[in-house]
Amino acid sequence: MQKGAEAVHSANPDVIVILSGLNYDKDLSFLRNRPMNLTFSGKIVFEVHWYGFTDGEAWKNGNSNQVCGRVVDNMMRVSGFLLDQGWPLFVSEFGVDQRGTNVNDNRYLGCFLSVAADLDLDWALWTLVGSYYLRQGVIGMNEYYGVMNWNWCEARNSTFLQQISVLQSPFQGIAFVTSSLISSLNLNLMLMIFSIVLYSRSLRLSLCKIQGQVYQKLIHIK
Amino acid sequence: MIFHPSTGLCVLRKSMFEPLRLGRCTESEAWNYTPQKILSVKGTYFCLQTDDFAKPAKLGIICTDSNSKWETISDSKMHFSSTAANGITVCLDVDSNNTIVTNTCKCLSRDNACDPESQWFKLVNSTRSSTLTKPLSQMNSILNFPAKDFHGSF
Repeated sequence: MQKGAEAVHSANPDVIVILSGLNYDKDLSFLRNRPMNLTFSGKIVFEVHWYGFTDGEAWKNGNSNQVCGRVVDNMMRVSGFLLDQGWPLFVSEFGVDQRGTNVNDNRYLGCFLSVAADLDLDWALWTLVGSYYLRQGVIGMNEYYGVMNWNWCEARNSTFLQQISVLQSPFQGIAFVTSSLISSLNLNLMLMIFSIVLYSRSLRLSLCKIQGQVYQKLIHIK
Repeated sequence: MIFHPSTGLCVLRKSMFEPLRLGRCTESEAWNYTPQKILSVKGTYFCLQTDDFAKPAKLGIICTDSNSKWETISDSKMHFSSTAANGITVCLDVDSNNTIVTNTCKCLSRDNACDPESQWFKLVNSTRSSTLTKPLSQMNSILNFPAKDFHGSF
């Protein structure tokens, strides 16, 4: 991990280096007693992924209060502890089936949102895309975790957008008065673009009448 | 602010004469949660109280009784529990109109078919500039509107 971070830094000293965890980017606990030792500082960020299915079907099979307590304790033990050590940590993937029919996802979401608000986490949502030209051999595959619907023309689930809207700007700190590259909103935006480019390869946005500032910005940047 | 994750909304007071409701977090005032477990609107004497079972929660200024003390209970620590005057333990909840009420605490057993989320609230530290705390006399006052128009028209 240190070698990788040094390699990225030497290739371009102006970029932020994002370090991932093990086991589908869930587990950074190996850093607890073996802190990073690097030749540079001030631009390391850790990322963690956190979905409902990160804990299998625990949400569906358990009591939401108990599962939330247990899952959050575990998250703090295997990744959240980095915040207490003073490192930046963000949730680079979270999301739910936006059809609203997945009980496991539905129960996870409220718990996740409460932690994201409490810790003022930066995040990237999986995902913006509504569908793929081609994925896993399927043409026009639907992305049920996507904000957009299949034809990219409208939001799949406006209730979900309402739920996350409170997290779209930071609760704490000076990010309100800065427009620096690392402000929360820009980071989210960067990561959404990252997600589109990597996982969609199919920007059909121009086919739709796009509403909303974020989408307009995306098109503009593209 | 007092965040309600299942709706993405926050607890707001519109006026002293209307019950507390959920609304946009950008309109939220700041709340204090004291070591004595009292939830008060920052900069005021008003604290959150349970009135009676299944009735809207209210704001009061005598904040020493058990109906003004809010413990965070359950493993999720997102239930805010208080004791009504009749001795019944209740939890902060939301009714179908987004009014803040108190009800029997949900899902405290191991029941896995139970959905507690209407009773989940999270106190979130925020440095966002909240709606300035309004003196009672100005809340919802029609007198504010001509003043705004005056500024707007010049």
